Amino acid sequence: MPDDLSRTPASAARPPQRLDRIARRLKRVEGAQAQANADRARLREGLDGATARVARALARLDGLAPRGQDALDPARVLSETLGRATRRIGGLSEELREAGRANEAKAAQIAHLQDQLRELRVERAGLEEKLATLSREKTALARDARQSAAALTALAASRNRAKNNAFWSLAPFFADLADFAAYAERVLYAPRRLYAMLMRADIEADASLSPELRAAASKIADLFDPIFYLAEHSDVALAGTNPLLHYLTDGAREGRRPHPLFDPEYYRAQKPLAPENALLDYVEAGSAAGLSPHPLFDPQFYRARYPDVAESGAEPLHHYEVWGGREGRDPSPIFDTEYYLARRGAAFSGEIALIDYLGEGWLAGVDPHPLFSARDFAAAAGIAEFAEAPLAVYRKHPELWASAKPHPLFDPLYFAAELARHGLEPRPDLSPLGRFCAFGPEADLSPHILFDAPLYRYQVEHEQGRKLEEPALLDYLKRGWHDKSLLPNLLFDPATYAEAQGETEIPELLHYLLAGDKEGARTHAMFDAGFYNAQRTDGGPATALEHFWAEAGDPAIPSHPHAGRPLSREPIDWVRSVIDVQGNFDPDFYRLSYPDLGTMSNVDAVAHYLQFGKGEGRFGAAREVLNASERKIRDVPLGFFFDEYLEYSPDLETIGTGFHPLIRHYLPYGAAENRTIGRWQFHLDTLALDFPTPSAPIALQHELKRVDVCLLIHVFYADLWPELAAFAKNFEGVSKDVFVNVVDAAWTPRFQRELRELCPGAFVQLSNDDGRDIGGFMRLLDNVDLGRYEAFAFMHTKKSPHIPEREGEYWRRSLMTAFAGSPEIVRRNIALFREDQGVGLIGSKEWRSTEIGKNVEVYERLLDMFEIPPEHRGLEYLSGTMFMMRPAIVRRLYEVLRETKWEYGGDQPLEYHMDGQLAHGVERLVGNLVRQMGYRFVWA
Amino acid sequence: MSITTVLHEASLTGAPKIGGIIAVALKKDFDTRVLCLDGGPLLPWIEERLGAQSVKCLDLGNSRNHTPFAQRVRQATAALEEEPGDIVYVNSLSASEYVVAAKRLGKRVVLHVHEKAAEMAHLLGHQLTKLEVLPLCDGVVLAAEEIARDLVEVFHHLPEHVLDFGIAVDAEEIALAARQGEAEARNAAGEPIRWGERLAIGMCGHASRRKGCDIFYEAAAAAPQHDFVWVGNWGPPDTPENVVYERFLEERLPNLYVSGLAANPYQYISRFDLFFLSSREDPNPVVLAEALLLGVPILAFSKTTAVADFLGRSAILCHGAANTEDAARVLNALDPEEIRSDEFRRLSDGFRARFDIAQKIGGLSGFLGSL
Repeated sequence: MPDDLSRTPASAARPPQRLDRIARRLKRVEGAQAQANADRARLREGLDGATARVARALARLDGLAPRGQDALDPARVLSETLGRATRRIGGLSEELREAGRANEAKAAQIAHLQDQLRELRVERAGLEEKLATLSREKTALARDARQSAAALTALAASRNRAKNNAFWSLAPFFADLADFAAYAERVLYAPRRLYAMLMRADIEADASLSPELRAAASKIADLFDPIFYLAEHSDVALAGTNPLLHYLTDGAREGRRPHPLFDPEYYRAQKPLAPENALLDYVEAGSAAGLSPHPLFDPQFYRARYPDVAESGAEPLHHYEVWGGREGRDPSPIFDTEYYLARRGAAFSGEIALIDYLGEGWLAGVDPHPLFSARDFAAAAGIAEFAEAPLAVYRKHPELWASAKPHPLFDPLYFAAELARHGLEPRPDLSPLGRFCAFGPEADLSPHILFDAPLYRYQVEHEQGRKLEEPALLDYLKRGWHDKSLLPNLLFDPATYAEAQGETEIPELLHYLLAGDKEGARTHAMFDAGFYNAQRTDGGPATALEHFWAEAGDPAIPSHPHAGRPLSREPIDWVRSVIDVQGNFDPDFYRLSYPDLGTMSNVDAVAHYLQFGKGEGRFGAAREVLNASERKIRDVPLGFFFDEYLEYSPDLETIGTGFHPLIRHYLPYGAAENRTIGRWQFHLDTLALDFPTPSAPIALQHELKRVDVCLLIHVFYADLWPELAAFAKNFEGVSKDVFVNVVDAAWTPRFQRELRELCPGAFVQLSNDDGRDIGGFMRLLDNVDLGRYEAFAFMHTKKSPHIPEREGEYWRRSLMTAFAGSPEIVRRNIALFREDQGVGLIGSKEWRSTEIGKNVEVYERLLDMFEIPPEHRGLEYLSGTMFMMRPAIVRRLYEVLRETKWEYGGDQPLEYHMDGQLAHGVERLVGNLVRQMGYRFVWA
Repeated sequence: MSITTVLHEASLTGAPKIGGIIAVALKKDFDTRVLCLDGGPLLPWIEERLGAQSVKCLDLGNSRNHTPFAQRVRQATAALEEEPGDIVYVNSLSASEYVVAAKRLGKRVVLHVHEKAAEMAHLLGHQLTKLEVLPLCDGVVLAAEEIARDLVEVFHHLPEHVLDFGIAVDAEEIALAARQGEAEARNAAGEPIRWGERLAIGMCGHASRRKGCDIFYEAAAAAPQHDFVWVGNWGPPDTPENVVYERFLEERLPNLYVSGLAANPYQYISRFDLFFLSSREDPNPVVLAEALLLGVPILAFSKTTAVADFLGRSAILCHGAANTEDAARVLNALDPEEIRSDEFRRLSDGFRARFDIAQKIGGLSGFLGSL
């Protein structure tokens, strides 16, 4: 019943109509009274005429008496006539008395009715006053309704109780309706029902109507809404006809709607052979058969969703109108009362939500379901303007279901594929939206590629401990999106999105679909939509995230400006296993995470875990890792590149070199230690700042001052230091840095002093003898800026104890003389390096060699290691490793050999030192490198 | 012109100490303020010299390390908004967010880089700095020339204005302190050290694995002919990270002496015959400059510090990471007479001037003024 009776014609007519009915009955009584008066007058007139005729007859009788005996027969006739007339007069008098008595009774009745009329007028004044009170109360209650949907039920109850008083005041008039009180109480004094009941009673009391009609009225009265009917059909209201009777006699045939939630046309579409009276058919058969009286009322759903309805045997629509609607129950899977009322707010009429929506709600632009957007549906369906409630349009037009998205997050095609993936079929009787919504909270179905229902469920139920009570997407749209920590999909982090885009008034994921993608928004620390889209070549309309997830089986496009590579599939799959694998053991996880277990069968893996692994603290499943790490799924880093993790945490090599062993290290340990998981972390998060920062690549702006030569000296025999220092002095005419590696076994404080005295400013380092002179040079190079010099000179305290001392001395000195024999030689060589970019190595021609000796194996291994092609594998080198060399060759040697584990020969016999060590191989390799890198030898 | 110096912490060693010394020295040429991100013993030292009104401590503690970089930038911006400085002098890559914040506020910014390549990578890996920070700097001050190479290697960038400042200490203050007080240290048996009888090998710091207290301990065991002196906290509860404390109590090495927390370490350092930097990681060990200024020879490892190039030219430098074996080899080769000789001790004389703040601050002031 509308709240404001004074504004609703049908409602406003109610108390006066009752008075009018009484007035009409009074009029009929008055008519009877007038007729009785007329009859009395007519009788009196007849009596007077008869009396006159008797008088005239008596007069004639008196005049005839002297005429004789013959005159007695006519007198006897007259006497008999008079007797008859007298009897007639007596009868008429009796009738007159009877009419007088009847007249008195009628008058008494009139007086009684007039008394009632007065009383009713007094009551009407009282009712009007009460109506005013009710109106004020309605305002207050409507205010309450704005505050919470729950208050609505209380409001309805309160209102009905108030109205109850009004109707009870009419009770004496309807005292003959024995079941009035019980019925009124049962229907919560719902005005529509009471009004319909009165109409039904009126019809039932009218014996002039056929029994069939009266029976039909009785059947449909519960679903007939006289208020709606009169409001909808003003001609009926103007005629003052009983609306229920009108519907039965004319309205049904004319296709008039008997109730706001009964659409005859829609009903007939389900049952083409239904008789003329669709509502009657619905009551008699359709309801039980599960046919829908309205696109937005689904009796099957209603019964299934609310078992108490089915148990009570109540007709669903009647139940919904009288009880369910007021309790906030949903009339169909696609009409969400709670959602609707929350959005309708203060404008809600206080009526039933669905009726409100079908009336004013949709015109106010309020959508009744989180997954229905009238605006987006209109755009998708090409509808310029709706003629009725948009959701009803959607429901009534199956031809639009496959092509028109009812909401940006509801993709019918994706949903159909999702059904197929789960082995489910579409239902022709349900729209895709209805099909989706009809699933319970347990179903992890998603109608959009960007909503990951199982992921969402995991976060809500496992991490937050809240049980989902409806499908995940609905929970997200209705409440979950307010929690910025809940990810709708792995690459959509609402917190990141909000930080980049600002706070949105709609779910961030929806905002992304509608606007954010076009704006190049960042959806996740590792996903920059603008960056991603800029690299796409498909030209498709899909957003970056949709494209990514469609291609997620093999991501090919980088999504982070600084990652330099596409996201890896492995972290995503790892998260999936967290979600999908129930229990605490996953043999696949176990094998992959612990490479030391090899390729165990599932049975063996379980046995190992139970017998050993668990006790050793091994994790049995990915979820265990997260739990033990006290981390949430959003903490799993999608920017985890295991190779880069290993590169910056080389200490983890023993754990394993694949993704699984390393992620199970990172989550519980590495993250707390802030270990690097990708080079992308080295960059400034430009999106978080509001001023431009230099874009990569960053150019080297500063050229370091170049030095002519870097002199590398390796000292094993300290006694030869003065000789080398003398050669080193020949470099004084050029700019130089001197680096000296002293084998620590040869070091003494005195030698240190001698070093400093002979070569002040030199860099002196102590190290072991691993790798002989080559190893020493490499260790020195740890301290050298390789790009700073024009050339490198290599010298070492070579003694060659396997040959006569003098030959050894000659070998050593002639090697050094060739490139450092005098300041002039040094200057000339430096100039040569500067002027001839083809010069790679300057060394003594006397010690050019092509002998491989016992070094074949190590040499060839080095050739492979340095990827020397066949054409440069010819052997030509400087025997003795003292020369000047171009920095590029030095760099190549150093970069490959810097981490080499060199042999230590300190405890080996002389033969060991002569040949066959890695250092001997490198000595020979140098020549190949010179040629491979496009340089040439200068033999001096 | 005014300068706000940002110190990421307030310890009396390493980069913070150098930053404090610079801030105090700049007072001669600039209106200087200090913004310290965390409290520490350096604060009163600076306050005493600059005045408490010129020093502000944010007491951020370890929370900085767990705060996303972008958020740290916002915090830094808020902090710098209250600072009047025209130039922001960020004393460590660890406080990189202040570089970004300073540029957001339109201030000139100078970054003092003390870190070596490995430490730079570490800071990048822990999101304490970003590759784009270097290009934002108006100038960079280097703690060692070789850091320029590391910056190029790690950041692929070197700003146009670079000053190789090196390490700086207050030589006069150190020399004065070295002459004050008694230098008392005892071994596990409670016996005091007798200075001068045997070579005294010393190290300063808070005993921990990072400081190589275990290497120092094992070196003492491997070279029993020398005395070893640890200056600084050694035992619990102050040094829970002393991984050899149990052994110290159990084995009772007679030649290992500890001083405990020393307010004036210079009185000890000046008595050392050799300063052995046993640290595994100590990028900018100011104490080495202090030892050098006091004429004490140094033994160090090349991968410990950011100043290996300097140490290779002035100290006894072993290649690689600190370890007992290599250290013991050198220590056992020490000849007391040679190591104590004036000739040996004078080998480093040429490097002393480069550490004296009094002689270096002019160059820095000029550099800052030119930006």
